[in-house]
Amino acid sequence: MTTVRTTGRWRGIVAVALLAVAVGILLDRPTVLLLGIVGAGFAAYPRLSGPPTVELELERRLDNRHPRRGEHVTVTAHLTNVGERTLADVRIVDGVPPMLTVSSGNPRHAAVLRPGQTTTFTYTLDADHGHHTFDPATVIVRDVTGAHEVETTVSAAGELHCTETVPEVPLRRQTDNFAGQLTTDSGGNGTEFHTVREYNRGDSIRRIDSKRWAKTGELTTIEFREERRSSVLLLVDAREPAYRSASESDPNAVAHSIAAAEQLLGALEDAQNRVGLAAFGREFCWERPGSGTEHMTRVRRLLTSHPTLSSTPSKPDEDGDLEGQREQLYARLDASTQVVVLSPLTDEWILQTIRRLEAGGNATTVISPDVTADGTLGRRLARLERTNRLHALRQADVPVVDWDPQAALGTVLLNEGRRRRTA
Amino acid sequence: MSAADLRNLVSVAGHGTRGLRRAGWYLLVGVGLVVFVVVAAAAVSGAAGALPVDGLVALAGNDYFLLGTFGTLALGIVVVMLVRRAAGRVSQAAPPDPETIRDASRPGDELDAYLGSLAISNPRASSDAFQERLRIAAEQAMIRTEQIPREAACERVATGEWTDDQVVAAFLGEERHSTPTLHREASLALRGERWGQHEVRTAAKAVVDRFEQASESDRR
Repeated sequence: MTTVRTTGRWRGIVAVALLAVAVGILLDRPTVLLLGIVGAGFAAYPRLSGPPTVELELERRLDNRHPRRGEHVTVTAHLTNVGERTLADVRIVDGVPPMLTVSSGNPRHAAVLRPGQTTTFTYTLDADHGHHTFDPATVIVRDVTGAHEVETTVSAAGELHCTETVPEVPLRRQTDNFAGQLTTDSGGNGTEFHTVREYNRGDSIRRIDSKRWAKTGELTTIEFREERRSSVLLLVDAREPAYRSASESDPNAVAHSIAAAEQLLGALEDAQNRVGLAAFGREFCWERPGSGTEHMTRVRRLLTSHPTLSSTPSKPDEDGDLEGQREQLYARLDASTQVVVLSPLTDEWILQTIRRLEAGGNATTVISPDVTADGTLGRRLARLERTNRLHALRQADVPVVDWDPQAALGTVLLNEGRRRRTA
Repeated sequence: MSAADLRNLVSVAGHGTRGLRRAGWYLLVGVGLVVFVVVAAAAVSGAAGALPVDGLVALAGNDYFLLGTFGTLALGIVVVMLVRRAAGRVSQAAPPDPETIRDASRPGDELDAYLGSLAISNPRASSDAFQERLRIAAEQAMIRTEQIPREAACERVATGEWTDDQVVAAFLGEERHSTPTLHREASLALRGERWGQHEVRTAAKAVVDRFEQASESDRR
């Protein structure tokens, strides 16, 4: 969007010029008279010249598009005047991704640009988990006198993926009949040892326990834990109450949830599970569970571009009809689909939703980024309420992963898996 | 006349006033330029004597009065323009601040905002909104920390037996609200607090102080 303004910076200069001219004539002082002419020039120039014509191109280069969390990423931006006129005063503010902070350098730059000339500036970002897209840069161009101003945006490609791997997704034992990663208690095809049984005619020769046969001459067949495929829906809580952060320098819980959903999506895809995506918030976001490259591309596109899945906090009245969204979810969910809810659990509404999902037969797991803070009475109460909600869900046999976003999600899920296996 | 007609009329009148002002401005600049060009041409061509200076001096009284008249007029215009300049603002873009994360509020900030607010239009309605939340927090914390069934926790909160504070017991219990004495309400008002805020603050503090310690050990 482009806005053209008359700044009014030289308002009153005509009167000053006239006064200087009058004083110059009356006192017979040519230098004072000349001052008046300069003032008249400032007054006349904007009326004769009009606002500048802005034609700019921006190119953004990142030294690392796939950094690890906490690594520095150097951004080099090149701004070129592709128009035919000199731009006397160009100011640019680069569109740094909303959930990243600038650690050094400056994303603001100013220059004079002749036709075809390029100016370059560099700054460094601290990488944080998630998929980050650069916003268009804001450019402000003024004429020589500053009386006219053109404010516009210049887009340039720029994406940064900081995704850590998740080795294990805490799925529950609810499967469809296709082969996949979820290990079951029944023997069959898989990779994890389950049991040894007597050989039956037709068993694969590769599954015969050759050591036992060599030692005792007895033919036995090794059974592995059968691995089946799950149908999983990743449900992101992106309502206004979920846009909360632990401090002003930390990303909000929705940004953490979106980053976690990306990581889980990769892990579930690798394990050949059917994956879908839903979100509550500005509007209902829905993609039914499925598999295949096209489907996964569609889900990834939703994660990065759906208006509900924006990491920029929404306003209190910006959420859509949440009851309607919840009913849509219940209506569209298949009974065999299990749900992984990503929510900071900041209110009772999401708790009721999870309880109803579980009661409706959809095995539900909660991954909850902890963004509670300390200090004031309100914050202490919010922390107590979240602890209550975690407990209430666990009492209802809903597995909950209490995730401190400072820790890598993969590590937290591995620890949770170990804890469940030993429990 | 409908509201829309009235708005249209005001809009047309506004456009008319702006148009008149602009026409006046162009007229003033035009007259000034003509006078300037005539005077400059006369001075350059040596025909300064043709200007009606003597007549103007006679009209004013003497040279100084004529000078004073022009000077006063010029100063008047300058003062008017400077006042307009001071009252008006430079209209220019406000660039975004991309250096830091777009901030979101902390969980619980809405309660702090309510307790810290001096101007609440309907304190009773606002405190009702927090009442249910605090009651649920107290009941769930009791279930979690004391391992009692939901019904027992609800009963304890309803009767107020879990706390020694009468205000908290009444606020979260069946009574819902207690009525303060005039003296109590006046002393709260002197501290800039309404009775509804006091009830919420006292109840929240009681719930947090009672169950926070157990929450920390649960988290660990």
